[in-house]
Amino acid sequence: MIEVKSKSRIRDKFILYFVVLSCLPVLLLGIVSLSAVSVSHRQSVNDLEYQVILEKSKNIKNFFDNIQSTLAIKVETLDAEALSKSNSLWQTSFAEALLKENTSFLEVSFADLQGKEIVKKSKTNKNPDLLYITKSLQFQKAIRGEATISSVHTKISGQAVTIMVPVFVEGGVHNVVIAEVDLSPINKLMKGTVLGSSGYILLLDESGTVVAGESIGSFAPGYNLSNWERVSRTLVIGGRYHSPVKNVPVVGSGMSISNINWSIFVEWPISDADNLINEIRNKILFAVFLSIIVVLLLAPIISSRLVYPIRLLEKTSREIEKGDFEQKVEIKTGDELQELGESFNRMAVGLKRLQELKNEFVFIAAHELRAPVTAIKGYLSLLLEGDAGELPKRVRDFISPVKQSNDRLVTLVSDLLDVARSEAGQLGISVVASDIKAQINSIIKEVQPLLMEKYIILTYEPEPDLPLVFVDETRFKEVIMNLVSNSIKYGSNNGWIKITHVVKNDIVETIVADNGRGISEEDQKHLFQKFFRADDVKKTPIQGTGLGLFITKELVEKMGGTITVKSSLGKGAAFTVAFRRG
Amino acid sequence: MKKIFVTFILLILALVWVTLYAGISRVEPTEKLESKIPHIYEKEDMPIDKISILVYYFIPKDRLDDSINNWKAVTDPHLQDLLKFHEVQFFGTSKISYDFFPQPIVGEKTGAEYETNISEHYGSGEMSSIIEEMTKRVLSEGGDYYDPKDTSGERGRRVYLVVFEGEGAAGSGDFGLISRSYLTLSAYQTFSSTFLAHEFYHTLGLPDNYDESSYVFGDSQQVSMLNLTSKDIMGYVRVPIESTYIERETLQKMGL
Ligand SMILES: [Zn+2]
Repeated sequence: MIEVKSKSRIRDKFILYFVVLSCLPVLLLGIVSLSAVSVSHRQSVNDLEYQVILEKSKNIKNFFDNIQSTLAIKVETLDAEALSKSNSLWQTSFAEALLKENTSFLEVSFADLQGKEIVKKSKTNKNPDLLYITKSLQFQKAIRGEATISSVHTKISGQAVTIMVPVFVEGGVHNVVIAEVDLSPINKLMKGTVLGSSGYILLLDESGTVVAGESIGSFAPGYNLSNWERVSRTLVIGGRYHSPVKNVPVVGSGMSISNINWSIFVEWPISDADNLINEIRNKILFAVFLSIIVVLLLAPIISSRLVYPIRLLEKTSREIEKGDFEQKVEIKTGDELQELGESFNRMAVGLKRLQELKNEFVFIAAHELRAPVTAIKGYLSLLLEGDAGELPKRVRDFISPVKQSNDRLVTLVSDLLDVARSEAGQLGISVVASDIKAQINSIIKEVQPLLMEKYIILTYEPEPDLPLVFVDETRFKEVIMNLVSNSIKYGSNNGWIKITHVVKNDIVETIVADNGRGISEEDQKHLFQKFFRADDVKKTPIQGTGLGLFITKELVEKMGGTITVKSSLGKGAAFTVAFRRG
Repeated sequence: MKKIFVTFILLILALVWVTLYAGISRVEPTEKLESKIPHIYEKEDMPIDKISILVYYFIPKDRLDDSINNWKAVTDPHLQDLLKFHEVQFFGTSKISYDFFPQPIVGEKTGAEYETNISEHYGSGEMSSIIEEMTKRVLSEGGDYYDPKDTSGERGRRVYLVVFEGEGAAGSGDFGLISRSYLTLSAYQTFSSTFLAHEFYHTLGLPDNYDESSYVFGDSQQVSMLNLTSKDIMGYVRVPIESTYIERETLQKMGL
């Protein structure tokens, strides 16, 4: 499990680097371009608004400048006294002329310095009442020589203001000319869309009352906006705020118009103002998202491709570790990895050669050792059996351990020869349908003395109709012998061994079970490896080469069978060898 | 794997941030403009966002012969003018509805008796006897014109408008009074809606824009009668209702 984890970790690293290195620049580029586009767009929106405001405020100023210059009457030829006695004749003709001169004049009147209207001409009323406007603040300013514009009057017929302009005679104020001015020309200027498809204007008089502009809800002309904090600001360009007028976010600019103290606002709903920029924005966002999705999709694929040769090398090295030197890695990347693969293959070839040399050496060594140790064994047996005369007890005591050691040597040499033959493929095996009952019975006879030594009971009760089994008789006997002698070797006194068969379809299983010391699960993993001996066994005086089960497995597999073990520590073991039925 | 997961989460957060904030302008929040509710002139605790007018036709007992049958049809267009004017002046912040009291009210006194104080236009003078009689006979339980089922007052501030079969025009308290002849005589046609509106606005507490004190002008002309001081509806009635207005300063004193 740990190795698998480390394998995916390098791929994860590749994915991580890949994602970080590709997505960061994309993100940064996206942010920079979004900000840049937005800043430049905002600047042009602000410029547009400022232009509209400037133009409209100029229009309004012109409107009032025109009126005031029309009303600025200077009488120079007559002296004041003569004028007073003229019975208001000149005022009458002036009033009539003025009413004709400017179409937005609804009413023109002259008031004397006491605030009494002396002449009045009206477009709507033939005989309008004359007022006494003495107390009007506007009038009081006018007689001090100041031209003034009143706050806006809202009427059913439209908006109007009263403009009072002093009439100078010989440098002094003589009368005040009063004009009621219809504001519909201004209203026309301010109405409708002034920017994009929904930008509108609000014109407020000095009291914060809406003079002109689109009627939006209650924000119609006449509405007082003096509690709107923005009204008090002299100049704001391109503020972005949630407008109370249309109840939407707007780009708003406001400016107060000098000398009449009115303020003009342009509000452009952001959704409209940013319409174009939003399209560009969406395109940039789309590009960013697409790039990142592509990176996310490609990262695992590319990483896997990068990691593939490494995993291949790792997998092959495992095979070689198991002793399979025939494995080759095929890496065709055309780079250092391919070179690594090639040298890896050369290393495998070298290892294989080493293995062969070793096997050859072991085979030769074992083969050369066999003759002497067998000879020693024979002569020792002769000696101990008394063929060279009765041995003194002392000599016999010395020779006995020599014989035991020599016997172990004989076994070791024979095992090594088996191993070497097996690995060199020199095991002569011919599989034929055989009666394994006879083999097993002959084994039981052979091991009888050993069983009796440890008081172990071996039971074998095969069914009479047990089918024939495809095995090499000699090798099968070797296998069962190995298993049985192991059971005896590692079994305790008074134990038991059972040999049974199970026929499954075309497979015949032979099971050798005992109630001996058993094998731990950890040891079961290595049980069939060369020279393996369990740690707890090593601590006992029981002798072994660690080759028995390795050879057994080799033999079973070479005969086309399988061997498995079921066991747990202290509860005995059951080895199952399975072969095809005859 | 954990690092990839964290990177992925960071990436998603970054994308969300970019989508929501990169290049998006900050919008200042809504400024709360308190919606303005108009009230009776200089009386902030008396809202007039809804006004319900009940219109009466009052005939002194000796003038039944002069009275007209179509008084509702005659008054209605002027009330419509008032509604239009009111809508423009209060730009929708105050709504008027009106009903006619079904039958005319026949006064207990003669016309001349009601008209004794005709010069006192703004105040209870001329109207006091009419108001007194109407309060007793129409508005009090047990009065001969009392209508217990009348619920029109629930539609807002109740104002009584009396079309008087006689001379004069006045406004006082909740009562406004206008001479029937102002509404029908051709000489007054241009201004009759303005007259009616003027008296109605007295019921909302608006004072006259007259200068009632006598004033001696420089040319020794002494003006002792009603001196018109303003062109707005409370000062200058003899204009068509389309051309008149309520002064900004007055509206400000009504909370607008
Ligand atoms: Zn009045």
